[in-house]
Amino acid sequence: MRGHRPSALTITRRTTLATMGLVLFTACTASSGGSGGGADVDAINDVTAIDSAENLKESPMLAERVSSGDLPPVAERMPVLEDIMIEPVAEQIGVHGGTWNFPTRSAQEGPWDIGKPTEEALFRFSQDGDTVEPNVAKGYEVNDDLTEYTITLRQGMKWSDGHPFTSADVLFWWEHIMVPELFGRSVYDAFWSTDPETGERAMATFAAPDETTVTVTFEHPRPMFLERVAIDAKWLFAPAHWMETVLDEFIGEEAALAIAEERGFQDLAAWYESACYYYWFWSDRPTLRAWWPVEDAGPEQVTWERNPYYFKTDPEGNQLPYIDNLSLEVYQDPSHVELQTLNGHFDISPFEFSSFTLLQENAAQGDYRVLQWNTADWYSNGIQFNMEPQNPQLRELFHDARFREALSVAVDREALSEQLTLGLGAPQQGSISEGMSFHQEGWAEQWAEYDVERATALLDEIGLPLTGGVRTFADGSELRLEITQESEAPQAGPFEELLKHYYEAIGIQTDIQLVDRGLYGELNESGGLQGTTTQGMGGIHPMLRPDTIVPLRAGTPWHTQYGTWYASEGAEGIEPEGDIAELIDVYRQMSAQLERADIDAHAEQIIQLHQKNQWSIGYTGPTPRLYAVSNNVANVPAEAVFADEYRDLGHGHPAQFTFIDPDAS
Amino acid sequence: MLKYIFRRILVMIPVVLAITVIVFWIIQLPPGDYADTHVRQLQAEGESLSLADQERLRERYGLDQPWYQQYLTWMWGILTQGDLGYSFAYNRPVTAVIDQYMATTLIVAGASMLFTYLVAIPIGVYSAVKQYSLGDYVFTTIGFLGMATPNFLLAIILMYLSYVWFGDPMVGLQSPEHAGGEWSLARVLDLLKHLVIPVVVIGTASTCELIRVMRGQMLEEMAKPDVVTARAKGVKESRILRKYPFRAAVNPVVSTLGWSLTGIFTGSTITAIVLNLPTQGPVMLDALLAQDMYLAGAWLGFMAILTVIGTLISDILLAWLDPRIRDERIARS
Amino acid sequence: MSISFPNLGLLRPRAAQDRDLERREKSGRARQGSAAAEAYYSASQWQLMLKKLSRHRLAQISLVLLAALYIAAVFANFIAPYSLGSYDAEYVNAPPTRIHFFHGGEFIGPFVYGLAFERDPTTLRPIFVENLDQIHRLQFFTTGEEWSFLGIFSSNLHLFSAEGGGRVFLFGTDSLGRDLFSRILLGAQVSLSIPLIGVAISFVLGIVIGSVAGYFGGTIDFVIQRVIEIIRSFPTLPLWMALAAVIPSSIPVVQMFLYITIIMAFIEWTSLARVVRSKFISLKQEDYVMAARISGVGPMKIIRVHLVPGFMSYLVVAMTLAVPAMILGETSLSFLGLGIQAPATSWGVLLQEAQNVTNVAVYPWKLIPLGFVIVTVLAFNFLGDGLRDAADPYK
Repeated sequence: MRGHRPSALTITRRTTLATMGLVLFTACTASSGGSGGGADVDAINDVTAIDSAENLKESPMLAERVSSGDLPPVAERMPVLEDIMIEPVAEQIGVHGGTWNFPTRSAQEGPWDIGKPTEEALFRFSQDGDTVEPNVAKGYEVNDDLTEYTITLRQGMKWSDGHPFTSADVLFWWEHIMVPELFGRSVYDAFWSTDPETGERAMATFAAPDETTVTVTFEHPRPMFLERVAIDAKWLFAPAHWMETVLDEFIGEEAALAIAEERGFQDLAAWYESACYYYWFWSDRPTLRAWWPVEDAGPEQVTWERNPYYFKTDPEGNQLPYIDNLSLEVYQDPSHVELQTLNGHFDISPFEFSSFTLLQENAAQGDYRVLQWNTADWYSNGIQFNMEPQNPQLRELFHDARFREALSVAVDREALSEQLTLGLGAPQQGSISEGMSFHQEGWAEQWAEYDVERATALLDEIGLPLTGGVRTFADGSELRLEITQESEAPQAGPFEELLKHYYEAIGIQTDIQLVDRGLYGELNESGGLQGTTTQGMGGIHPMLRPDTIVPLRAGTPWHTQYGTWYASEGAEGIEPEGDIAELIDVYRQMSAQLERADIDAHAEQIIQLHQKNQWSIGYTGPTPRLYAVSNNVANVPAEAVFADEYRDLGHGHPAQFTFIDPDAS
Repeated sequence: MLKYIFRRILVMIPVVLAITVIVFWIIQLPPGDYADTHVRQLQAEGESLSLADQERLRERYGLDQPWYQQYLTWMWGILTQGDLGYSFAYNRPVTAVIDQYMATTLIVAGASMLFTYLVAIPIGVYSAVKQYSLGDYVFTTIGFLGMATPNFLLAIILMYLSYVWFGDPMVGLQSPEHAGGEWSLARVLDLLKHLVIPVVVIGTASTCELIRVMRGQMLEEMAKPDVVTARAKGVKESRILRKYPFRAAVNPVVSTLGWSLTGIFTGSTITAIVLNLPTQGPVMLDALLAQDMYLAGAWLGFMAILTVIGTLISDILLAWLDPRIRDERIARS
Repeated sequence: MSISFPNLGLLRPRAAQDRDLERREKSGRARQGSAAAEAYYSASQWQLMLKKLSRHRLAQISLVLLAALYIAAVFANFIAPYSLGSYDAEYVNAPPTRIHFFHGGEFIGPFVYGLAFERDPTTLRPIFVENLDQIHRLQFFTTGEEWSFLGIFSSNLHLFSAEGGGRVFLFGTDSLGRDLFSRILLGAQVSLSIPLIGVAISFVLGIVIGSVAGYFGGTIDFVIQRVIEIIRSFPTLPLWMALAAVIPSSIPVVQMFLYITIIMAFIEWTSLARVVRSKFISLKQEDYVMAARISGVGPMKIIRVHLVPGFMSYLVVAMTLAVPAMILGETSLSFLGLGIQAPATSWGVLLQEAQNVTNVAVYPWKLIPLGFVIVTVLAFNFLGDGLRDAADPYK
């Protein structure tokens, strides 16, 4: 039985992809005179600069405003020709126009639903995800010891209100927003360099030698500064001319407070968090994004309009974005998005994998295709044990690799894959997927075989006597394992139930605790958890997002006490030992490396420590994130990695998404 | 009577105050505070907040103080400045948050309540007068069908069937092409079409109870001697119904009618979700879950006042409807 | 008011007289009846009710239905072919199994074919293809998984199963491959018992407290009313959240559910108490109550014998309405970790699981539990109707 199933699964997945590829292909050829297909696209994208201003073309919607004298001509609105950013298209040259119906949660609940896809970062991750590339910035240089970064901006670039965007805007953000910590976040990690000797941290200094140059200087080498900026401080700039009209530093506290109150805030802290951090909901705040709201965030529906000053074109000189408007529709319940997608209303809507069958079965009627984006997660269903639980006997067990192995092999992963993931999540150990950086050969198979005998032998070896089908500690005291799950989590329940079933089959009595979000957070921070299925492991690089992998701060269940210890510099929490202490050591060394290769070597070491210890156990491999994309929309990459670092859908570069027939949108 | 009402209003003040204390205490009772929830929420969205930033957040919101101190500060603000406090989740004054959702809440809730009473009471009377007729059975069955089905499940089923049969799931109040457009016959028809599902859901969810109560009461009252006597005296049947059994039958409805005041605000949650309209219900649910203290506290305090006023209104209505109760009141006061 | 319309008074009598005549004729016929009439007049209140109930067809059907459901719930472990924990990855989201009688045109009794599981390559929908070579006859009174009833006795006898490892899912399976038919039966044990306890508690509290307030009035009434107002204002959600944090997750699920139901009942009684109170205030002025009081009957007896029956119909209606509310009510707590937790189940849990578009559209058999809830609720209602009619002294 076990012999044939995995292969059947792989076939299933491949056929799925192939079928979808076909749909995509038909959609392209049907519409655009043969610009689909890999080689063709490469030829289209093989452009380095727009030759002359006459080649710049704009949306008819803007052309109208230009002819009525409402807007300056497109060449004047964009950066100088050689500084215009040329965005490669994913499939074809698009058509201007149309309205993108965009499902979103309310601005309070899900500010990032629209925040991420429309984000314009100074540097963004490249499409292969390995490095960063200039986005708002034009380029950068760095000296050999990685202490001075020189960032070049685009000449003639403008904010959405036509005001020039210069180095002063970057400097303003640093001096008047980040350093005073206006939006409730401490100065980001990116801006600190560490003394390799003492471990002391020093803050960067910024300077703006001319209008298009910014230099960032560190006392000590700062490797991967731009990557960190791409994650932490995506917008290293703010419209100084607008900020000066609202910040108390410039207009006095009284006037600033009056503005805050006018906008519905009671104090400056809240208003500044909104104006400097979740800023994209304000219609009057100039932006560099491709779209901006024509009205402030409301509870129901808000229209976003194209930014006439946007700095990118496609390879043929058409100013982006292709799509004229976004219609943000706030939904109260995900089932509305499902039904409206089936009905063909939403043009691009994100889904959990669990909607897969429903979406696929109705794809023809709703005239959409379903794209699967992979994630950088280590697993889709897995468990983490708090390595420092309050019960000392449990602590000993959790630290015993044999115990973790026993719980790992006690579960039938192939069954779980069918029951919980429609067979999409491979029956494998929590590990880095094939095709991602730091993938380790053989890790996926580690402790992944369903082998109750092995589990029993391991538990016997540890010395957990079995009486009447129930195991106790060696001294005869009761052994109970508590698995905590957040009840708001999608799909909470079935997985925990199955774990209980399998664990109890080998004599480990298991209790399931479903808790609300606040209680979960409190338990997690205070180290009150035992086992939890709530949070995952993953990230694209241990240097960039070490949170789940290296105990640097509280929050990840398995190491939360060590993270607290590290973050509080030993004042609170518990000091790690052995391989966990080693993790932190390697991380520290990694931070001091100057060469990318050395950094990667250290990262590899961290990953191998994880492989060796398997602190978290994964039972099913990662499941894809789904996008239902209207067949009238092109240029949405069929395959990509869905990761927060890459800004989710933003990784597909929505500015070049296009309607095939905008009038039918 | 006036003296009685005045006395009741006086007593309301300490009762409401007591309620607010209890309510505030209960809200903060679950372990964890707003900061914990907020941090988890940020984590879920891929953000993180350092321990120091968390502490700053707690300080800013005053979460580091004991609950009674938070309560006293809050109450003091209400009594001296009419300031209902601040919603952490919305980063806005509580009044602003409530204000934002009040209009839709009132409209949705008011309409569904009116609908409920207008539909339920006549059907209840009809079912009683024509007991065991086909109509009686049909109304009973449909009513219980709605009652036994979780409202949201019913909504999903209806929306899906509508999608399968008519190719449109009828989500929301308007088709996108009509939203915000000119009022025309087509738009009105579109609106009516979209109203079918909510009406069925609300209708079956909340009318069943009223229909059953009215029907049961009417049946009981209609057999009483006063009705028999009236009938014997030859009073017109419709007049008998209105004059005798109906008056007595609405007694149980009226004695909890006042509490529908709070129902207006809390009961519209499902309706709102079905209609995809933003109302107070879900906002308050989230506030309670996240321990957004002042928003939840202000809201529950408001509900408490409505409950107390509702009870009073019910009592007054009861007295007005039933002379026997009225006599007792006057005799006592 | 009728005085102001003297004309009507003149016009009506004849019709009324006709009706009176009719009525007298009817009762006359009843009296002439026979010995039965004698029995009728000497019968006790309960005998009367039973007699009247036996004439109420729908109530009888309901009674039979309910009895069947309760018997099924009691013997659920025996009737259900599978247990609560019978997960099976080979049969996830399987539609109801077809029961065949003829194989190759030949009658061989009830049987099922073996099923081969695969997924549709595009949609990943599980597809089960009948293997016509594998015939599993249905066997009755077979042995299978061991079960125990309330820990009193255990057995491994089951009503039916398919021989030779065949699977029979009368109502299909859920996403974990569990038999829905078994789950509905086993869920009935919870859904048909505990809510009734909750209803009973809130009714006792509501009637007692409401009648005390209504009968005695004055300060007692005043205090009770204020207490009710305070209880009504309780924010239940944080209360549950706090409880969820305090109750250890290791206590047996059914026990936890029972606690929750009891606590719910302690809040739910208030609206009944309001109604009882206002009914009492109006009823206690009635002549027969006065008469009882003057003849020295104690207040508790007056309440019990003279007042409570006076609004029986409201009680019956309220009770039939409270049942579905309680059956479904528990699900609203399950997201806080209260209520029924897996692997135990209840109808509310099953409905909660069904509540998304995928299940409605792709796996519609998951809505079958809804039918059971509706039938139960209707049966309770019609039985209530019958009881109400039977208890009505004017009929």
